[in-house]
Amino acid sequence: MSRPVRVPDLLVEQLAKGELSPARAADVRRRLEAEPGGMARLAAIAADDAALQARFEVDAGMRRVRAKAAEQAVAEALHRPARARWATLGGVLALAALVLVVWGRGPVDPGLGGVPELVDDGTRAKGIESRLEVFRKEGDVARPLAEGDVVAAGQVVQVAYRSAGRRHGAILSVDGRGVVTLHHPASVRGDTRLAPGGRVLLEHAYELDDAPEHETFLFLASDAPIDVAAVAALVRVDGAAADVGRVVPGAEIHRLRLSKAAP
Amino acid sequence: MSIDVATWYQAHGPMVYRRCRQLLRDEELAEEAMHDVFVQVVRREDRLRDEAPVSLLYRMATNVSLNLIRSKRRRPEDAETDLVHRIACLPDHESEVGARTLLDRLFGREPESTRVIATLHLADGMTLEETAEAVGMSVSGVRKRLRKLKASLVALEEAA
Repeated sequence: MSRPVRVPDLLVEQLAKGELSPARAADVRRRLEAEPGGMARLAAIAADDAALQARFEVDAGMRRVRAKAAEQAVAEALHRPARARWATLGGVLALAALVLVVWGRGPVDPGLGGVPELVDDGTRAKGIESRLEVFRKEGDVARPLAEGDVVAAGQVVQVAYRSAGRRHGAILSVDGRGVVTLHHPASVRGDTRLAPGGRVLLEHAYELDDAPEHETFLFLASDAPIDVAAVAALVRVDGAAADVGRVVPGAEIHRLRLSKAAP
Repeated sequence: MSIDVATWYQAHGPMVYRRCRQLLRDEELAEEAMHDVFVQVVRREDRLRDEAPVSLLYRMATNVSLNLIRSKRRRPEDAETDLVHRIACLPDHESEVGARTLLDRLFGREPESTRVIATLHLADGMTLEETAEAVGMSVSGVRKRLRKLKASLVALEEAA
């Protein structure tokens, strides 16, 4: 195959973004200068970038991207056989043992063997907040739930978090009967460390019970270990609106209240 | 060094979009493909490094677009002659349907990276050396992949 005169687009893009070594950049530039309209191609990239950056606003684009990524991740997790799911998530989640007691009927999928080692690279993402996410299984997809969404007994949901560099965390929920459920860590004396990196799905999906009015989730993310017993006790007394920041100073606190449909 | 996906989106989203639009010949599909690329980035962000993002995203955009072309069986609106579109968008008459099926089977058998390699080299006109550098392989490795692809094509044609 004879070598085309036109410089491949990838090389032009790399040149425009300064991704080539000095020698390669000089070679590509020389080839562009020899190509009819070559330098115009290079110049056009900056203008096109500006126009497209105005069209694809970052915040909106990233919301779209993260929502779709979440749907894909949770859908895969919910549809994967239990042991395979653990194996796959293990590398990403790197969570300590999660033997959870939840919502009356308990976890859909009871404990599994093989606890992956907790990984902490010691880095923290700057300017990114931790996040709590809850998804509901709907047929073949997993829909993210938002504040106030209505859920019903028997529905299966999946809890996820994003640590954003916070090293410790606790996730609880309290229902309309005032029953507090601990989702992370496994027990009030358990290891509160969070997995670093991106979205982390808790090991199990859960089936909601028939508690009335609401199921409210709380996620506390902190740089220091959390006194989970104190947090749970406070929530048990004061309910979902408990001022949990009192017992975990400096924590990022996220709440998500889901309304329960009447039976 | 971990990546900041939003920064990548802002800095390189236009390039990803251009690549997808070039292959898909459809602005709406290109926008969908561009976001699909960043969905993949988000899902791999803890494993990606902030090195040579243009090359990585370009290859991801190529891969996502090829998958979309295959899944949507799109037809070109103009006289597209590049290999990628001839593969994915053949007009629907008997001989070409046969060729499309053949190539679909062929590409379905090949690792995705081979499709990307084939597109970079055969459709984009990158040399073997440039292709090898872009995909982080040796020239002999790229040559071997392409030879395997061509051999698979011949084998399928003979079996057809």
